[in-house]
Amino acid sequence: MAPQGLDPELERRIAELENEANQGTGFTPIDWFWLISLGAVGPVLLLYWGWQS
Amino acid sequence: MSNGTQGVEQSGWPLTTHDRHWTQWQLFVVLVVAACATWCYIIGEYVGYYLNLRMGFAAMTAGSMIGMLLVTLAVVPVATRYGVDSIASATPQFGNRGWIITVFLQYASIIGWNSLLLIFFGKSVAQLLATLGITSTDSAGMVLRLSTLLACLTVFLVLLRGATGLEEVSKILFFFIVGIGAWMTWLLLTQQADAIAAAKPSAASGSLQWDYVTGIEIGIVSLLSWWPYIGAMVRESPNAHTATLPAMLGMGLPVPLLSLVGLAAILALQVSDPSAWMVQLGGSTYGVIALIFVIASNLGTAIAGVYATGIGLRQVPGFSKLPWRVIILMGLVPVFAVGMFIPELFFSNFGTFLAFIGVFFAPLCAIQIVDYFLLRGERINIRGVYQRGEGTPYAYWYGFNPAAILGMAAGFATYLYLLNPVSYASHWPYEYLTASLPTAFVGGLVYLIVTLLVVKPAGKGDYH
Repeated sequence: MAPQGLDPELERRIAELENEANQGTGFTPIDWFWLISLGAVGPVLLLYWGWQS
Repeated sequence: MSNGTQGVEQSGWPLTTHDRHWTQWQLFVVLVVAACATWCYIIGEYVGYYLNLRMGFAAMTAGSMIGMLLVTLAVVPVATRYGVDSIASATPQFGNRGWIITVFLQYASIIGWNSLLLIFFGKSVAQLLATLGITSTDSAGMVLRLSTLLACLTVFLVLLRGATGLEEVSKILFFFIVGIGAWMTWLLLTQQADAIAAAKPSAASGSLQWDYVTGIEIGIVSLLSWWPYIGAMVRESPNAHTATLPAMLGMGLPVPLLSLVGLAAILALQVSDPSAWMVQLGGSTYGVIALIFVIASNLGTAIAGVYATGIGLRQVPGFSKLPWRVIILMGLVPVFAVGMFIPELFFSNFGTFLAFIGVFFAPLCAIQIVDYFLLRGERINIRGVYQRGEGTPYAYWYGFNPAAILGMAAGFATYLYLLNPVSYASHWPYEYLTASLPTAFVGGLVYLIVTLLVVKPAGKGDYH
């Protein structure tokens, strides 16, 4: 089956988003810092603190 | 309408950067309101069966933040780059028919949770009215049903305005939830400090390590259940940077903080429902305050859940052009029916189904993370997400990607080997690794291997 046509409005949106300049940017180094701090390092420290009780 | 005339926020189509206006604070408020609900007391209660306050808090907070990290890495980069929800973000991995698996997981999970939340809500109303002497305990069933009806009607009216309605209501509910939640925590920790300190977990296994790991596991698996919710909301923010801290601190941290209330209450008072223990502590006035909290928190989560379900259902062919009010009803009618006709039956048994549904989110997150970061270089084919039929980028084999299906199956089997989610019977090395983390690892690894050995060599999946 061949690809089906898209709604014109959806087509317009996709065409816009296919231009990389119109896409949202990914995680910045600061974001990675927070992700690793809050999602990995912080939990490890918290688990160590809890285990000491 | 084309979908556009109905309001792009209510469509399943990608939001362009011109459509995405939510600031970090707006997203934070919406995510906090979505995260805070009665389930936090259940999470705290379960952890309180095994651990004391300090260990329980540490384990459940650590687990929650680890779970939130997995969900954030899986959904936020794709959702904020292309303005899509969780379901659309998973199409590159599951295929242009395989996404039905994720729609089922989302629909069943959110409908199930919403039903439980609204039944909790109805039970709290019935209990409070009986406490105040307004109704008798005999009429509790009728009060529960009327409360469910009222709650469903409120959710429907709010969501007629789509994400705008969600955001505006969240701004109001936020202050009730944060204010009363913080006060209840302070009240419990100060008035019952001695009882909490002396309390022993009622179901401790005898192995402190097993209990500790179980606390972590409860935190991880609870937060993994945010996968169906988060995409529909973070796609309203313009980039991943705007969504990172709101996701981790707005959707991740409030759950263990509020679960602390349930944990402390089950240890000190042997009951986690605040509408019950607040009456014990301060009489009917405190009970009314607790009820306001339960109303605000469960309503906020239900609104967010139905909205996320609606956006997810838009991906189903034939549903993309249905009127938005019909889409909302598709998320609400099952909840309404459960609350009206089988609340007790559902309340008693559906937890088992939800426990099994939750198991799938660990491998799902891992598959998305492996695919997006390792295999696709942080890009997807946004056109391919919306194209159906053979010869399209994500057609794979008959619309299904075997790598994703095998990854999910391997992850599910791994989890069931390590931990029975209902009985909590476990096998080595659960007591060292939890169940969700090895499940995610195995699911992601199987996906990676099958993709490299089978899918890419066959020229499927739009890998470059």
